Amino acid sequence: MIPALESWVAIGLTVAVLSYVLYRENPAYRMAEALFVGISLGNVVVMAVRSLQSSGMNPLLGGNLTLAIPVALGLLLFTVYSKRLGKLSQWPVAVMSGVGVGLAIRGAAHTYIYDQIKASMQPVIIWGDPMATLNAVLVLAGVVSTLTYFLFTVEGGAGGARVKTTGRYFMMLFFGAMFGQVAMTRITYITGRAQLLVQFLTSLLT
Amino acid sequence: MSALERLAKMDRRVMYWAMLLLIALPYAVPLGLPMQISTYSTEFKTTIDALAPGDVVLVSMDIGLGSVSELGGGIIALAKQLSAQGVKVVAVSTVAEGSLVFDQYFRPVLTSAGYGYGVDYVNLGYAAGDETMIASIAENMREVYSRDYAGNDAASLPLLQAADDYSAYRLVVTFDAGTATGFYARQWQAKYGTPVLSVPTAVNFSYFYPLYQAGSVEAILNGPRGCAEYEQLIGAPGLANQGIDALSMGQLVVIAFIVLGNVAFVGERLRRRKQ
Repeated sequence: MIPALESWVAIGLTVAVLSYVLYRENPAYRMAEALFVGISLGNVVVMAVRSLQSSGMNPLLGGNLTLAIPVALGLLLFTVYSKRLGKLSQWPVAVMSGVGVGLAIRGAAHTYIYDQIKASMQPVIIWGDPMATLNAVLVLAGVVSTLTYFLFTVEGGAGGARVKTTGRYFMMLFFGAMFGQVAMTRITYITGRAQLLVQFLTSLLT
Repeated sequence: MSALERLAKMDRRVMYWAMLLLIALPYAVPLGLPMQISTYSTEFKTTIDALAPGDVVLVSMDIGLGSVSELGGGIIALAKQLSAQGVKVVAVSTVAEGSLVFDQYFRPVLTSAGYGYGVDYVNLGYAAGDETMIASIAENMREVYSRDYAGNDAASLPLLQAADDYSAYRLVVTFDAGTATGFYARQWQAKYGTPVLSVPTAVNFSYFYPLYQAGSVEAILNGPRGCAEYEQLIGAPGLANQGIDALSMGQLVVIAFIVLGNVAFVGERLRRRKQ
């Protein structure tokens, strides 16, 4: 079966991109790279303009005059390119920072502090379930030792140093798990392309 | 040159070729490696099971097309389960390509299930602002989106008239390649108690898992592995299950080269010490 035109384009660009790592830099790779950057940028610009139209310009032109304030503040951002008016760009940055921090703090206190402390305050000994007990002990040791690692104002002597070292080991375990997950994410980028290549070759042969 | 030296100085392209060929192999010859279903994937499925026909769910596509090879199977599986249960869907995105992902992977499942646009599902598209946008749509969706992705007037869409703020939504599902899970946990779960379900890329799973353990995130899938488990749980193995063998082969190649690299490194040091 002859694959559709878009399959040929997808395969051509996939092979062009892979040629960089499997062979070396070449014109086909550079063309695919330029196409990708151009198309991605074009899409981002169109989406950003449509977002501005949808949430700003359309309601403003429809009579919602309060939106004139954020739109004016947004336009002030462009004064950063002027030597004379550049300082005006600090106002929208200040508003964005204030709103962003204000929004984040309210939820963060609940999600990242209150909920996390509540989830950590569990019974250490769970009768009749030794594995759950072991898990709870490990969580307690991990939380205490990792928090101790970041106590910079208290020396704590030899015992304190051992607790801090334990905390470092717990963090290294976490970083190891993170690295494994990163490897999994990166591999999936290739799995998608490998699937496309195999499907394409299969369709040519059948 | 000794074998260890040759190993240490091996052309990296050999590794890339080995990786590509071994990853492609399971697509040509399926291996059917066993996979254990995790409790959190089961919880994800049962949380969706609890939805009733007519309930409205906010689906946030916070990924670009590059992450589809990782989470595409989960997107299709969620669309299948929601449409089988008659759940209505409102889609938004904090990523410019997110609305394209919805249109290419989620929408076809809904339309083939007989869903009508504007009544059973809506794709509002991308809006700038990240956390500010997520906080704003919880209070008034039509204030952020005066038009949907297709350019229709948002006020004319019956589904959006009925589901204009957080109170209409039974839960939020975010397909997340960035930080949107944290934003929804802070602005929807912490503030209004709306359950948040997360399908993060594998690299973000470790970061969001504590939120799941603390209850800030109701249920979570572990990247492509979680998507493959979810496909099996709903009885529709698809894109994610096709890729899970290839993923395992890829991980084996990485492990093999880490071991080989360390053998070469340690062997070389021992040889120099002897000299």
